[in-house]
Amino acid sequence: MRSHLSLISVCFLTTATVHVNAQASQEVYGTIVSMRGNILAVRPSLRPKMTRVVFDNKTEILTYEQMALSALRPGMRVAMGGRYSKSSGFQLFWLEAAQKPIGHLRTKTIGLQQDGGWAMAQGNLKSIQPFVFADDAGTEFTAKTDRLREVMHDMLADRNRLLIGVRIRAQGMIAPDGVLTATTIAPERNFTKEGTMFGEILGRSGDIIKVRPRYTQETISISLKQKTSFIRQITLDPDTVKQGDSVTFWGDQRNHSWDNPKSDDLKAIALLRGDLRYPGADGPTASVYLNGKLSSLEPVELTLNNGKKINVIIPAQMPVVRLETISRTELKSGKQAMLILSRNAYGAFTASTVILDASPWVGYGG
Amino acid sequence: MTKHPRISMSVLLVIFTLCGAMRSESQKVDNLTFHGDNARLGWNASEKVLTPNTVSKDTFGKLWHAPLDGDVPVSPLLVTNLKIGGAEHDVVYAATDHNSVFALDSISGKVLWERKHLFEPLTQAQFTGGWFGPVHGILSTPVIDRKNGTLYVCTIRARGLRQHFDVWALDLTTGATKAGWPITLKGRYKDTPFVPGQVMQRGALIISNGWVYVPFGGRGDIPPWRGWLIGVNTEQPNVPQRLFCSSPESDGAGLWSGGGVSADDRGDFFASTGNGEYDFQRGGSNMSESVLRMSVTNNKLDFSRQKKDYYTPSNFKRLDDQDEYLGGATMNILPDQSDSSTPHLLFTGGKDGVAYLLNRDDMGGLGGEVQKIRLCGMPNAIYYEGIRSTSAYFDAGSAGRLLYVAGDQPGGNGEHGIIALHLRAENKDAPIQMTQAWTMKRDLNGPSSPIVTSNGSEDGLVWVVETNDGDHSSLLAFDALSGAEIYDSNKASAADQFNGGKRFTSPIACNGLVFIPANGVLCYGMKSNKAVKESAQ
Repeated sequence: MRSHLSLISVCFLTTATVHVNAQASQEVYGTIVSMRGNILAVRPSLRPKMTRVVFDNKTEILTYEQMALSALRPGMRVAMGGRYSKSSGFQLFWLEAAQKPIGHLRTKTIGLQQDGGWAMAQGNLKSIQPFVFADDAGTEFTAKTDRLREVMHDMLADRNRLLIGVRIRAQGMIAPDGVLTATTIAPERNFTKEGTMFGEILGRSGDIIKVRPRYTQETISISLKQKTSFIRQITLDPDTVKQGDSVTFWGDQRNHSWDNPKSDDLKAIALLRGDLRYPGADGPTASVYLNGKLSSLEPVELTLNNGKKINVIIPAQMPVVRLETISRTELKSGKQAMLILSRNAYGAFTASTVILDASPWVGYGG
Repeated sequence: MTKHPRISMSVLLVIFTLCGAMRSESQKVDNLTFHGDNARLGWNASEKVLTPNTVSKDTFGKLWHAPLDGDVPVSPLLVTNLKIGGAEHDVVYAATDHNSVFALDSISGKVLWERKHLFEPLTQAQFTGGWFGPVHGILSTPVIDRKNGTLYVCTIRARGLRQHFDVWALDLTTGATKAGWPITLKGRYKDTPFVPGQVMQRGALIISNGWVYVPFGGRGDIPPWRGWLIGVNTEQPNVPQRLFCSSPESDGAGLWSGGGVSADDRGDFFASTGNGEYDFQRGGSNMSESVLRMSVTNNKLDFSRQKKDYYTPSNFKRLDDQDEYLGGATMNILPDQSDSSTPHLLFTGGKDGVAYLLNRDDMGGLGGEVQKIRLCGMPNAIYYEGIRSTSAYFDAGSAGRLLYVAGDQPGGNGEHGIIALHLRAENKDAPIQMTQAWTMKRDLNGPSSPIVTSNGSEDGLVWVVETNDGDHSSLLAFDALSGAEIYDSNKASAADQFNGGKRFTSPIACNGLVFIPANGVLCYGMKSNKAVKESAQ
């Protein structure tokens, strides 16, 4: 799992790209909630409104894995960041490498991009020990790697990585009507070890179910494990929720250390009654569950058990639900299901959770 | 050149009277609904001031700008010779994304009355989907019933855990809410309930046979969304509403075009639907990427499921997969083309850049168009922004009958911006076919729906607002027959330029004035306009 540091490094890199590249592209960071053909609908984590992301066969789908410093080879394209001073030089904290320029590593960069005591750079690796790289003007720089915390290896992936529920970082140009035509899409692996698929169950035989994914005519087979969870979402009439009720909201807050401005306001994804929850994601920007009393409905306000009041923003599609555990025998032909899946190296799917009648809006939640 | 019989002026007058663009006693023209009439033709055939000979950058320009409390994402409407406060005014009505409605004097731009925040508008985070500004209120063009002196408009609001759409009836002279209104839209179609949080209300309202109808599409394709058309009785607003859903069992098929649905003289509605599930051929009821006729029978609004009442392009699956939907352009119900075997036609365009001519007498079912031709875009493009504006019609008498289509991107045969199409049949036993008459010389990048002004069959001008013309928006006018550019506000003086033109809307042009929705309302006209000059003094 990637550390918090690498998340920050991605943020730095994005900033660096903007600084370095005069033709600054724009970015959407969020969870895929629907996918039709080459169009993704993305529920952004940092922007208030839904964004559609369009991709084609020129779009680079990027993935990455950790690699050892010793696995680097001269000629690789690298991007890096860390502390810098004239006296002690460039001390790397993070490093990204690829066999060839892909994604933001294509950006032409000259010199070190310095900000306070920090610096970022990009170029072609000349040697590992000592660590020497050349920027795109051919100027060589040395850097220290003894405090390097991680090295990420960027690679190209295929579009099968783009499942509903996967959190992505897409970059490209946004058209006047708000559609982003992506040049790169990077699924965030740490939040999305698994992805979500919606579809119709066509049949079950033992531990295998056959599913027709939404918007397709294909049939895929999905394995069920002994510990796969089976849940039914029961959508409730919002009018049954009254002021004073004990409820749980699932949603996003912008109160992390890097948010500016910070706010405890909760942008709700769902309102839940009862004890069961959607499978949560992890990582520093994962969505939160807040439990408390609904102290006001106009505006919607939640009073937490510690007395703190939270203003809740209710998006149009927010479902009001109760989740209940069911047995696998309820996975019958014709049922609509949300499946939280992982896939192995050969492409075979295994479900960790199956939720019948789930709202597409909830996705994986991230 | 084939000679075509002209539609007589008396027929034109009947069309205008029936469809709502009525002449008042002083021969002024009202504009009571999107594109002037329920057929959505976008043609004002009674314009005597604005002609290819009178309009130029020296003679024509911006007369006033009325900034309101927000953006005007809808087409303005116009009622002439209306007494307000003891004086007679020609009144421009505009609605804003702040859920507000304004009545403006057409000569001075001064506010005659205002109804701000009929309900508190939504924030972006509440609204989700959509590509508008920081607040979301009224997004659709209202409609006016002049006979009962009422403007109908649809607002959105948040209430507790739900959102609601409400139709208001406002008095034309005071803005006061009429008794019994607003009415919250609710109900179901068969087993499918209307869920306001799933949908966006961008399509213009329409009045037909005493009911006001409100169309709905999706909010940024966030599932589940559905296409809806909902009717409210204007005389008895509390009687059960009429609801029709074009995707009752699945997602999609939104009726989202800014021009709303069209209606013929019988009160049948025509609409094209957007992305989503299409399972009609498998016995389902989900009709994405299609054109539907909806009729009222026994007080129920429904679709007959008969082949004569729908059309689906044979490549519907590809259109859906590539987001190249129908549904962005409102159907034009063309006047009778009596010199052909297809006198009753519909016209529309798709986002893939293809224009469709359909037969209203038998819409053809799957792949049964009269003709389809590609005007812009490439056949294998992905996410191509082709035709998403409602086209306009002009009968130029002996010079022929024409359609004006606005596209976002160039075509493969040198088409740019506005493309004018001749409608001709080889003989009376042959169907009407579209052929290119002219095209603009440059591309448009966000055109509004075009409109036409003419004096009968003479002096035709095509008007369009380019909403994304570099740093500015621009008002453009072309000779309807030759395509020669007559006016471009970006080439006029700085005082005549403007920003903030709105897509999915249309300017209106009546009685020598052109009104443009933007950040407020803009009025263009002849610089010599005496009344405007006097009002400014």
